[in-house]
Amino acid sequence: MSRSTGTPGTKRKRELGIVTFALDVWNHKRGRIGVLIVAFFVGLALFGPLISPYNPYAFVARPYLQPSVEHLLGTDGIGRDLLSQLLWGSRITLLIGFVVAVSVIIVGSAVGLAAAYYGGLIDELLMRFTDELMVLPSLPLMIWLATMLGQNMWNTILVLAIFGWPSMARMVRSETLSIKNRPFVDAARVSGAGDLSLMTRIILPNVAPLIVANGILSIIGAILGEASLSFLGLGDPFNMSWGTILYFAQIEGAFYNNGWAWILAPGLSIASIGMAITFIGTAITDIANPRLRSA
Amino acid sequence: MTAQPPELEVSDLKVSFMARRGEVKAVDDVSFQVARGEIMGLAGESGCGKSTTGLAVMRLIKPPGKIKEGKVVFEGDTDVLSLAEEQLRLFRWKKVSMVFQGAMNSLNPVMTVGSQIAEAINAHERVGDKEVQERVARLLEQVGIDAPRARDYPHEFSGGMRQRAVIAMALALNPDLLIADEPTTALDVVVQKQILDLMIDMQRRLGLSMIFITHDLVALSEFSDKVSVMYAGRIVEVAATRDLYEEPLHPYTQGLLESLAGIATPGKKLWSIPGAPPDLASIPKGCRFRARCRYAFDRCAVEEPELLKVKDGRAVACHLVNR
Amino acid sequence: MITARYLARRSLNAAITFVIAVVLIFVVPRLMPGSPTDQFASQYRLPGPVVAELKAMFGLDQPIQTQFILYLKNVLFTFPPNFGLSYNFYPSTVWSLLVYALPWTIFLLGTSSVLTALLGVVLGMASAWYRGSKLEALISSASMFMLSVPFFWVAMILVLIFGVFFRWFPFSGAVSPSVVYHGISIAFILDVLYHAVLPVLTLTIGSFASYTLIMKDNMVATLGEDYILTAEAKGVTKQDIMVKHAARNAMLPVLTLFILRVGFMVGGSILTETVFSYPGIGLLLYGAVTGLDYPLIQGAFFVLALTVIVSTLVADILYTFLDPRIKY
Repeated sequence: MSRSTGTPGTKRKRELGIVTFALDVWNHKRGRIGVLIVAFFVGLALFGPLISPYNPYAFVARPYLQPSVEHLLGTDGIGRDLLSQLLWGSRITLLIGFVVAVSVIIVGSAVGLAAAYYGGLIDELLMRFTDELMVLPSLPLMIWLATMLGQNMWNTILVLAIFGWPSMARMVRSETLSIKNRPFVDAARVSGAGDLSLMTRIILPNVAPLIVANGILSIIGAILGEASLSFLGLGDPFNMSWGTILYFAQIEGAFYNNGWAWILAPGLSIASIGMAITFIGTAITDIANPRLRSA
Repeated sequence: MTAQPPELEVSDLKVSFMARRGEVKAVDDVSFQVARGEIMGLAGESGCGKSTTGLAVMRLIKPPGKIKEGKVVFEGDTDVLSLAEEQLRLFRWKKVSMVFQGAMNSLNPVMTVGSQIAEAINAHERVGDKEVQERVARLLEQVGIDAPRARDYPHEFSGGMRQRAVIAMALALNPDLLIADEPTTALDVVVQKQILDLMIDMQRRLGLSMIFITHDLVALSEFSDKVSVMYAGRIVEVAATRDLYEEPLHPYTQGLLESLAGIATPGKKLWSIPGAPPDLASIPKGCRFRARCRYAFDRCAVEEPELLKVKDGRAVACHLVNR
Repeated sequence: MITARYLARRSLNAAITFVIAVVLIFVVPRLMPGSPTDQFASQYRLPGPVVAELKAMFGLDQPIQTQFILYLKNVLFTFPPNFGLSYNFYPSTVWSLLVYALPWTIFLLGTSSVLTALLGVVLGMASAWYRGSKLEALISSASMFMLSVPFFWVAMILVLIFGVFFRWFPFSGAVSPSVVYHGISIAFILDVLYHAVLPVLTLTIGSFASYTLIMKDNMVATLGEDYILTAEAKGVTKQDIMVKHAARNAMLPVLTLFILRVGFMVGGSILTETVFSYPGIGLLLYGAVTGLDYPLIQGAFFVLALTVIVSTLVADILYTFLDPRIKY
């Protein structure tokens, strides 16, 4: 899905390219919806804690209250306001999702590029390692690692990143392999560019669209992974994410106390962001691949 | 003397494809007839609309393509383009069948060859398994394939054998008309001859009518009774085979025949018609061939020539001829 | 088409992978910070000599090489494999715990896998057949939604609707806790099924989406192939084309996906078993890891590795029967 042309563009052309690209996404029906929703949640993450009515960790009312004017989502099992938890939690969830995605992009691209570029033994070793990681059942191992390392936000990020980069690496590798042998790469090589320079200045810009699209989609995986780990009690109880809210719902007996809003709100928030990101991903693929556009 | 209605009569056929750049008129007002037991060659270069015409006869044009206008009448009484779905389904293969371009792609790779031939039979008749198998065996033998090979998969057949199998499949229900779309193109020369001989043999034995679509004029010269030459979506010349090869009237036909390399006439320079066919989404005014025609004059730029009868069994669409 | 040689080669590969896994299962916990008994000891504030005795009892005072040899002997060359006694469920043996839990997980995963595959294939086909219709839009939206939500949340919602609101199905345990069953009776089977409805439903609803999308894409691609046109020209009914020609070919990559996702399904079962307190391997593993029950951790991962490797092997072999083009 690369938008590679015959020759790599100059910096100015690339800047314009990014602008037109962003405009294309905005004009895409689903892309626009996705961007708006993501913007909404980012706004929530940034400003939510400011408008949050209560401290999410403070006991402010009777437990298990149903949604009301004072507590739009009700209260949890110890009497903490759920709406506040949701608002503060958006920050944690999005932060984790974003940082993991960035890590996955960096590590995955580096491994994929290196493997495809150098080929031979390096490729073999790197890919073996990558495949083993992909084949292992991730959740059990993530649970194990998280337990070992201790429950805090950064460990969660680490654990998610470890299991997230392999698929990015595979994708980057395939794409790089197909670009590696194009004439403009040879031309640059002949003119004396070193390995690192070739990889970063020539090949990378052409693989970039693929990386960006998949990186964006990996945010969903990160958010879902974090939610699962938090749900199992391995999240950071002092940095409640949406997954942690659901963990408390499970152990504090939301089922037995009619806590429908408690369960519905965090889940729908995760779903909304997930779908919004999928829409953006769809928009990117549609734009970058004109063949798929209907006549 | 009332003559039998022709096997197939196509009138004013128009088929277009809706593409982003506009309406591509693949077949633009084509009319022809195929008499019973006649072999008509449909010749022209790639993209001239001959394959599309063949598909249209069986109403196999898929979106974004569409049959815009025209009539396709079979044996004087069946209006193919207005058949109901189930009637169309039964009509297909039983009355008219097709040998597609590229046998490998026409066969489902995960089904045995025999089962695919059997499928054609089972789709139309209620026959017991044993009888179907016998019929499949006989069909394969007719085309020179050992019966036990029915149990093999397409990729286990050689190119020539696959083509034969596809021919056997096309004859499974004893159709009255067979449309062969470039049946020999993907094969090597020796095999090409074998297949051609096979088809000639089959036609003679079964008395089929045939539309033989190809760009290979040499094959047509040995095989067909008459030839229709297509260019850029229209028929530009129709003639009995002999007449066409001995005295081509349309400049395009002349060009085509001239470009047949002279192994028989060594020393003659290889010649091809300069230029390329027009973009079917934006057909120029006047005669479509004008840009490449060495005889073009002022009328050619203004008026599109009609396919007019020159004498019995001959027609040409050219201002030069039809003054 | 399968040859004995291919079979032997894949089995050997699987066996090697398995042995590597077994070794890793021994090595990795010992690389982790802290010794197994430290947790125990600090939790109950055990005095030194008692800790020493504990260590001896679990064989942790021996040099690591001896431990390793003992481990290999107990795990690979004894049947049933001896993982020792569980810390948290002392004095039950690890093996007995595994033996009780595994059938429940297999039952859950097996049933939901079949249902998921069926549902995915059927919905994918329907999406392709009714392309452009409201049904297709509905299926696509539902699939996209399912791919954006956490598995366990689906479980929780189902519990809310069917367990709490409608009170139709139980949402805890594999059988009713207050009843004792002697042997496998009809009542037992019915109770098991009754308790399995929500977990299986969760697993199925949570997993069908990716299969549906892939099946649909494949169907659409397959329907564009030439042999489909040939089939239509032959007068084959639309139904037969969809099922016999298109689906047949489109399904192959779905099976590949299936193979790849075996590992994920185990993860899914952990989450599901946790929500429903279903006594399978997933719940056991979770408890073992969070409770630092080392022997049980080893045993559970062992079973996990075995399950993944065996099912991958079986799926690989099955695939060769379905695609006649592949020669080994």
